[in-house]
Amino acid sequence: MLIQAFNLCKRYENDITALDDITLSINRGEFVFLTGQSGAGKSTLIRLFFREELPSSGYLLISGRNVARLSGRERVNLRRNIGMVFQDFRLLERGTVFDNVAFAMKAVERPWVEIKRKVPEIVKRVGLAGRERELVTRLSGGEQQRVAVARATVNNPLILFADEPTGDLDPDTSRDLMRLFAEINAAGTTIVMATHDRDTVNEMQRRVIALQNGRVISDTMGGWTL
Amino acid sequence: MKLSSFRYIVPEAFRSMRRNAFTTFAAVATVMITLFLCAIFWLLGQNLDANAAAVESSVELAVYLEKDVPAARVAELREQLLGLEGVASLTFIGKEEALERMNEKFGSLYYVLGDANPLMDGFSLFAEAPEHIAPLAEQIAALPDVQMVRGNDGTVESLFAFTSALRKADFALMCLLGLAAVVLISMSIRITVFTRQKEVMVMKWLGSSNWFIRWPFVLEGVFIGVLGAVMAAAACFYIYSAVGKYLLQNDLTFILFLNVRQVWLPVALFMLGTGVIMGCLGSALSLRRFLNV
Repeated sequence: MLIQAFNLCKRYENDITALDDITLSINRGEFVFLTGQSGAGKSTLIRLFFREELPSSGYLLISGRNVARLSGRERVNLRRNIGMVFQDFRLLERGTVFDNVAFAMKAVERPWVEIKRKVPEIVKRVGLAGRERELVTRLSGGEQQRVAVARATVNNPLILFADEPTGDLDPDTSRDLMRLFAEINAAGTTIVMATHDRDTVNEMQRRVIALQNGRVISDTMGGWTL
Repeated sequence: MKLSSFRYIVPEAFRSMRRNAFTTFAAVATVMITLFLCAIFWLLGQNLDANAAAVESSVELAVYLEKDVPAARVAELREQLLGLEGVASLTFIGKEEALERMNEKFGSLYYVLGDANPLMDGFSLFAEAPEHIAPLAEQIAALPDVQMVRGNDGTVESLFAFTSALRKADFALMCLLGLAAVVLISMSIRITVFTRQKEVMVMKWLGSSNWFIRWPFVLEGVFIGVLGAVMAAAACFYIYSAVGKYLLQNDLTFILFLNVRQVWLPVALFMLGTGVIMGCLGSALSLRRFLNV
């Protein structure tokens, strides 16, 4: 098991329960959708997965390690094995496509020779070959999201978490992006994607974990279940 | 963290300084003014110390005689003085020669004095060691026909007291201005932290180590400190050399002025060291409170 959650709860100070008794497990190489309406707890669960926040109670194990008990160095190592894609891309606006993807490799202190070799490869893989020198602000929403995917996958993460990555994209662009995710998943990366996009989920026909009011209400293979 | 990562960290620090040019400039200027004033005070103190030490180590006494002492009595006094313990040499200086020497040192006094010569005959006496000066001055002053004896009476003590006060003032000034510099450096870095907050967040998600994130901010503080120190050192030594040249050109060589080559190294090292420390303190202040990595 790559990810195991046991009775996970997340409560905030204002007495709001974002997650309530979540127990689930995700295998290496799976493609899992976390679905649910806004406020169902999808994004909170993703934040716990990449240790942006800690659970109020329960356990979360990634590769067998309790993420709440990781040392500083172990936390860094965990994040180096995780890729993140957000709805609002979160790119460096002043940078080019190359700068943004290279930033991910610089951040984990890869040598410059490797960066120069690998960035064009990954940019090509996400369908932006030859556009490395363009400023990201000049790209369309779909293209910016591809840059975000390139950045998230350039360090070959074990897991890719995506929080509403198609939220701001039109249906055609969403479909292209999902095709890209499927390719990345086929290459061995586990993908956990939070979405409330019913069409995308139905088209992909993968494992769907549905959340409602912070609880898992179904965990099935196939399409949208709510 | 890998050493090779400084390839990414160093340019990032420079980029931050360029992006926040105004606050960087303010911080560099404050460091520069602080260190410049401290160094000027230091150099002034060193020169005063050197002058005091020169006076203190002087073994010369000037013995002035009463008016119109007959030559025979002068010869007798000469024998008496040479007989005193600790006298190394003795030279008679007539009042004409004394006037000549004065004219040489301060320019012609003819327009002030006319043909009159108010000076006295006297002796220039050299003692064997500085510790003989005080007892010799006392004994000679008691001799008949001796009007006065001049040595280093009280000058050294006043000079040392003055340099000591100067050092204290220098230290107080350095503390005050240094504090202002540290606060300005920390503000400059705080602004950089805020402008780069999104980048820092992304770096955390990507798995950057804490020090990889912190180093550019630390270096930014150090660069500000070093830049301020180098500019202060350049300005300080330029002005110091100009003052030295002015004293030489205007024949004010009776003031002992230390050559720039004698003083530059400790002062420059002090400025650089203090600049680096101020930079580090400024960075630490911002990082501890505002960069939660």
